[in-house]
Amino acid sequence: MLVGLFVCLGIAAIFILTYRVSDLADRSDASGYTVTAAFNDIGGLKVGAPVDLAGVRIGRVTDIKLDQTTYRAVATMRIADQYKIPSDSDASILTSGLLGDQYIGVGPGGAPDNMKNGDKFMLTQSAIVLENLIGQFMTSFAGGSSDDDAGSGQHGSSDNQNSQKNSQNGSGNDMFAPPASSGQDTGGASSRP
Amino acid sequence: MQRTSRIFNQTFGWLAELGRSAIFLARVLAAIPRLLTKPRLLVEQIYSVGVLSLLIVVVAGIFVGMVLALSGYRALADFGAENALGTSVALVVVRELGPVVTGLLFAGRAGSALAAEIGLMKATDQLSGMEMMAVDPVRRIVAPRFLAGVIAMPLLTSIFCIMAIGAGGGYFIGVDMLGVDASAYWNGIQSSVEFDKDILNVFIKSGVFGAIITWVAVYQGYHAPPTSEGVSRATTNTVVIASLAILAANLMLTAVMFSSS
Amino acid sequence: MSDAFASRQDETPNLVAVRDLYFSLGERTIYKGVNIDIARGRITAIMGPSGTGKTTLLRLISGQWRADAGEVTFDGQAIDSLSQSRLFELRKRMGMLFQSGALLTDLSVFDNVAFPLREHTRLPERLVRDIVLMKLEAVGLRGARDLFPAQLSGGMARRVALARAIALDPEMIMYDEPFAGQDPISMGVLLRLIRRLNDVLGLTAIVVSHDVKETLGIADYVYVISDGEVIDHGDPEHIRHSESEWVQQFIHASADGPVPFHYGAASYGQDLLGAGR
Repeated sequence: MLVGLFVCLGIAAIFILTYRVSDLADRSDASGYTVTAAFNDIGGLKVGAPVDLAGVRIGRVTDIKLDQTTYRAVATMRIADQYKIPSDSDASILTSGLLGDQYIGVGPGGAPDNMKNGDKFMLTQSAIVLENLIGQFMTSFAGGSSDDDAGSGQHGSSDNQNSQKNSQNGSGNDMFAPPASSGQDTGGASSRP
Repeated sequence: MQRTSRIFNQTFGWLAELGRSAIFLARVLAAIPRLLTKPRLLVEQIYSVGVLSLLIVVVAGIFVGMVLALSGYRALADFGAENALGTSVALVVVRELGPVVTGLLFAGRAGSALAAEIGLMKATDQLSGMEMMAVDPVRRIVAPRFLAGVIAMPLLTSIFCIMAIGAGGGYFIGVDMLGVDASAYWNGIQSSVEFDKDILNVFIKSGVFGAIITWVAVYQGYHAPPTSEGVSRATTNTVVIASLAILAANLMLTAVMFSSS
Repeated sequence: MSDAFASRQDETPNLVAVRDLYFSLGERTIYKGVNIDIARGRITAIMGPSGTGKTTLLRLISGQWRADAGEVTFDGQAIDSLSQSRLFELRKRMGMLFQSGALLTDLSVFDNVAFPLREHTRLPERLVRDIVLMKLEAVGLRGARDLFPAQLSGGMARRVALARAIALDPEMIMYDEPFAGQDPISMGVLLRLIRRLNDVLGLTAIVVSHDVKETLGIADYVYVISDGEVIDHGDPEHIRHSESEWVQQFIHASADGPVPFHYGAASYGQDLLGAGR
């Protein structure tokens, strides 16, 4: 009798651990539609990271891949069915708090039609990489040296002009401003076949 | 010279003991399939190792969760990262403290009781009496206790984790007392605790710990000298050896799990 | 071979035969070449002072321990060479009464007696109940069936253990010091029970004891062992008039004789004088 109660209690605890504490509940949720976004640099974004709109979680990152032709990271995310996103919305990689995990923040656009399954975010903004930021400050404080020097010093040779511009833009505008409103990366549109 | 030989002898003695206990474990494992035909024996033992350990595990879980939330809050508040409180409490509990503290409590509560019970049964000829009735005590007495320990530990550990993270422990201090946002607490936990790494880790660790503890306990009890001193020493040995073995096994399991992820 | 024995069971008078038995526990030699025969259907007593390994003999006969050299056979089968499962089969044909009773402390009297039945048979519970009550009736403790071992006196515990030992209707029962520490009344009860089991059921019995009067009164045949050897054997009358001085000292409980009162020591006077230094 008591043993039955104990075992039930234990199994209940296992279920709570599995479905309330861990990420399994969200991950096993197969409903919703998927959209993708390409970023020059995803920083520390991981599979399973939340997708937020105005601070409300609307979905999760389900997959991250490297596009071998453009050398950009393509993040696939699953958005819950009840959330509609205007088709001209933008996606940016943000950090919760100073040390927190990274997530994708969606800034809503104004288009009348919504995104559908398989659609792609046209406007994306990459993660702010702390080292790059510091590099920017260093070079701008040093004064004399040109942007070109700083750029080639920070980025690998495979990186293209876009990403350099992007990180500069991002650092300049974004640090203390709402992310969705500024510094948008148009690379996604330009590199599309 | 004499000292080296003594060290050698002692090392050899330990190795021989380890070998004997491994053989004993093999006997116990071999007896488990036949146990399934008599589930009542198993249920009785789950009662005595599981149900009787429940209270201490629940109370300890609540205390551990509370203290983690308190000290974690102070550290995180310095960075303005109070919202990460749930994450930090949950990760610490799920990855390390849950299985280890439950294991230590289980060794002290159930392991010592098992060793004393079996040791006393031996000292009072109950085990020989069984052998004389053509009943193998390893099958009738030892195997159900071993299996019950292996089953009870994951259940107890899960309960401990829930108590530490949930409404009784960390949540109570963090959200109700210190004013961390409730949804931030749970969301932080859900986005950082991964099922196939952290939660499976809890089950694997606690199952292994349960096996280690009951193995040590039944071996010590079964091979205790049939005197009151022998039984008391077996009880002490059980708690000491099982506790150290848990900590060592925890290190190894954590290392393996980190390297594989 | 066992078939051959079974077919001429009546022709082999000895159920247990111990041949040239050598056994030592650690440093201590317990048996050095002992020969003992246990006759079928009789009560054979093994007597000797404490510490001569009388209980050890029972453990050797039941196969709990193995002899260093020599042979122990039960109904023609060598105990030493049996696998565990064969040994367990054999043990169902023996019962053993431990000095302490060895009742399972977490089971009631009823469940203790039912234990071997439930372990070894698939009898329906009603039949188990009937058998248990019969066995308890035989030892006069049917009314104590719901008590737990901790609530029993030593004599009662031993009687319950006896009921348990005969639960599977064994061919042989080994009694380990059945009279030790019993008050006269429970001693009388036990004596009567042992004798009756033997007479009524034709059980073979081995009684290990150092209680001279009771043992000689009940046994059909007696072995006296000391220092790992059989000193004398024969029927009780023979033992009473044994020529061995040692046996005479043992059965008459003399303080001094071949077994000295004093444990080996230096001269008393010297010891006292030397104590100051």
